[in-house]
Amino acid sequence: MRQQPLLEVNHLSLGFQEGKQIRPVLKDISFQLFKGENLAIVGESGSGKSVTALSLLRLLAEPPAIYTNGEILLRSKDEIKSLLTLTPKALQHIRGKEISMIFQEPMTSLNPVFTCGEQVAEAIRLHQNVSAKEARDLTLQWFKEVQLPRAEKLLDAYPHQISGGQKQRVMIAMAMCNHPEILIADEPTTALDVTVQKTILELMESLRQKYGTSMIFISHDLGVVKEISDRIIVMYQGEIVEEGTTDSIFSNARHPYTQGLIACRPDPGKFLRRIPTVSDFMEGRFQEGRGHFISENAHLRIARAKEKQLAQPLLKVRELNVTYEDKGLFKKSNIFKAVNHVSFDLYPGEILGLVGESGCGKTTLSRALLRLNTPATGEIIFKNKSLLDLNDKALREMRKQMQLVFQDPYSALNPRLTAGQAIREVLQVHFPSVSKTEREEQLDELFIQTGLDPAIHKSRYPHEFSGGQRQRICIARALATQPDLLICDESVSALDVSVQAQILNLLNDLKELRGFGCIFISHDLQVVRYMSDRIMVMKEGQIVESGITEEVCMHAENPYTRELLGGM
Amino acid sequence: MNPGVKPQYLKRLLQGVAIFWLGLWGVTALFSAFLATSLPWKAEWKGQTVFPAFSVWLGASESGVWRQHEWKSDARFSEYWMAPVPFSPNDLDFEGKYNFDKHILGTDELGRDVLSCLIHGAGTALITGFLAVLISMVLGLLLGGIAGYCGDHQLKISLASWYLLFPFGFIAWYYGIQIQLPEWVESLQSGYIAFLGELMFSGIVVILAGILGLGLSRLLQKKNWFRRRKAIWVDILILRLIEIKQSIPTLFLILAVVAITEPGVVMTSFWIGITGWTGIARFVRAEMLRIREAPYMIAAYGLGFSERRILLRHALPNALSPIWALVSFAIAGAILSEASLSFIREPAESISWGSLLSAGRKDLSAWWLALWPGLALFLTLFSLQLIGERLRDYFDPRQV
Repeated sequence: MRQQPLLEVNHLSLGFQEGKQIRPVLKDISFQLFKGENLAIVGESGSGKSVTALSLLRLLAEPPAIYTNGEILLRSKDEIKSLLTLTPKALQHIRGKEISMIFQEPMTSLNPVFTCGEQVAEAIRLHQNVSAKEARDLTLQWFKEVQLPRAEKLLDAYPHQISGGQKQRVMIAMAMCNHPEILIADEPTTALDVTVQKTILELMESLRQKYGTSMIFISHDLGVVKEISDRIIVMYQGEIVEEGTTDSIFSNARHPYTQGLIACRPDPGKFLRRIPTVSDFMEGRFQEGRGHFISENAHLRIARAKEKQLAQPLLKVRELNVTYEDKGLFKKSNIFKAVNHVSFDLYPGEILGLVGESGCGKTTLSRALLRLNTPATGEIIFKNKSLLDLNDKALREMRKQMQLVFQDPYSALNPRLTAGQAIREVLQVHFPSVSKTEREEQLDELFIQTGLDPAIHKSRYPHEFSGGQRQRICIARALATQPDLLICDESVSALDVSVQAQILNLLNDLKELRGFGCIFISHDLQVVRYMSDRIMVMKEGQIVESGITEEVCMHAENPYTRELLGGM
Repeated sequence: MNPGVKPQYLKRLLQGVAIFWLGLWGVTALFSAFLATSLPWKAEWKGQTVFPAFSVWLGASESGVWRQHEWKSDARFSEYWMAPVPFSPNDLDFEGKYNFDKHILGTDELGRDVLSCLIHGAGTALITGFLAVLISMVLGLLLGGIAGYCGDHQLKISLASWYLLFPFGFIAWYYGIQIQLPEWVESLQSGYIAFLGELMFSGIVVILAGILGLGLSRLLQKKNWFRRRKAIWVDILILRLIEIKQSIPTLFLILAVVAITEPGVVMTSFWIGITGWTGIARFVRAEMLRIREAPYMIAAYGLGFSERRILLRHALPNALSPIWALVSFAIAGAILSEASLSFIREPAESISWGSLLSAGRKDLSAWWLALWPGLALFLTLFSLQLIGERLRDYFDPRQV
């Protein structure tokens, strides 16, 4: 006979009150969590996975959240507690003590005015009857347990003084210090760098096994989930569409949504000409080896990349340096080299990938190429003109030919301009002599090329679009100047995996159609590998390795590149 | 994640009532001369049908006589059309003192009708509010916008202009302001039009000095060394100016200045406006600082837009939308300042809600003297707050 589940969710339905109506968010959710199990909940943003996690601890504000049906049962010490009927006081004893939680943003989950040690000690004293001194000792013990370096010192450090990965370790210490039965981790590693992500996941797994904690791991990233979870629940639009052991889900997914989720991450093994999207699966369009979904082998890719290098380079960068001066009021000023002796070429029609972790200088480099930030030294030669010597007017003329697509498509759009106005403005500025009707035609064409509907979308404001559509607008706006060079700065990182696949396909199509060169910047090596002909790996402002993508990925020489490849 | 919890319709209803209330006082202030007057709208005068209330306003020749005439004791009074409130604010009605049958909202101890005073005071409140805020808006937007947008490094001028700034700045200050100062004070006592004239004169002197300086700077820039550019720390300058201003107690400053100048609504508003720009300037500066760092601004630079286009089309509209909400709060503040001034100052030279409140101080048993103007003031300020909220929603594209 199977053991009793620790946590049981039966037919849970939940809605948000909007005016007089209730918008359903969770629809008839049922699942069980057993002791010592690692259960993953997977889905895209808006699928209801975070709401599920928050509802287990009753952390949603009620109203607007309304539990319309179902029950949540927690078995602890041979006694069954129904979480939906408990008093707020009784709930406080469960939160942190029996079920604790780790959030996505370690930056904002820690209180900035208390030291890390104080915050963990507070959590200990809240649920355990110990003195302040003992709590501090326990905290120190836990800091060592989560492998924080210089644990004694970090006890008295404020959250802003430590790195993101260290903050997440503090959060883990805080969540684990009362030996909870269940640990809920809501995208705990999404905001972290790839290499840090890996160590945090390993730490969580070892702690979980040591203390026999059950875990609910919420993530959008199937790659992460595959590594650590025993069982997977796939959520889509507030419903559980599939449930099964990790192996069975990955080898034999039944629901098309799950199949799509698995397939829409670029696979390093096979290079499909197009990445299948979730909607390809949902509408049954996907057939491997048919249509666009033909896989190519690595040799073909290498040969094609070499062929592109025969032309004259579009952009030549030599010995580029960008330095920031960190002026202290009472201390000596520090010179920080954000970009350090960077040289490379870009050939027309080529995609050059730039990989590196946050803070490595890739964004600074991309902005320096457009001369958007502090003065850079060195040489940037774009179409045989030296960019650093241009005056303001010539520079504006030049910027027309090199365009930038940002990471966060929402903040990159002026909230007070409709999609149509934003793009029309670019056309007006750069092609002032074009007649009105012709301009509208150009505008419509841009909308259609980027997969938007001019009739519907032209008059909408940025906030009325979804994330993927906003990125389409940004791309359309960048292409309005008819650039020869497009710089995509983490342009797909903020998007859901399936939307990400759509945008990647769109970029590939547009590149074929318009033949621009592209610098594709990302922290995600898998995506860069799929997209680019050549690749550059950046670390601490320097290019540590570069070459043709497949050659670099197969025979990486630099240890850092290997580490990145290992984190894939 | 938290929409629709508040009953939106109630908010909308309240905002509608607020707009109606303010509009009502606006119309009342516009037609106060006809709404509350002891002159009849239509009457018999020497065998002819006349319209004294309107004719006096148009400046009829009999105005003086009509004003003195006791219409109410006229033989054919019952046939006359009187105004809805048949008392002028300065009519002394000793018999009707504290008489609620004749005076709906009562009178003060001299028999002046409270409702009539309220109606005539509305204009003062509204003119002060809007005029003062117009002045402080212009100043605040300009200074705050420059400080926030340019910061300490963005506004660059050539070395030639920089060195010429000091001598010509001194000339402009000395001849335009220092020498003119006694003239200003003198003209202030004889009326604001004279004062504006003096200001214009000073302005011309300053502009002339500026033109001379710029011309000379152009000449100097023939030499390359003078063409080098230097950043001006406008942000620091303007911030310090704001701090200096804010460390002076405003009400007493205005009180002192108004005491030596010609009394009047416009002059009071002018001073309230001149002293009230700092709040708006700080707000605009903060908004500009935020917007300057927004990715869509970087995107705009990246798209090759000109500085002017970015400032006018991308930065300003985004900075302005929260300002509109501030405007109504600022109007409320200005009306309150004016009321406080009239309350403190004695004797009040024009009727305003503040001076009415002040009159209520003398006789505490006459509660209506304090209640009605107080209530009018309170409801108007409250309405302005509600309208401010509505404006903020309206100018935010995220709201429908």
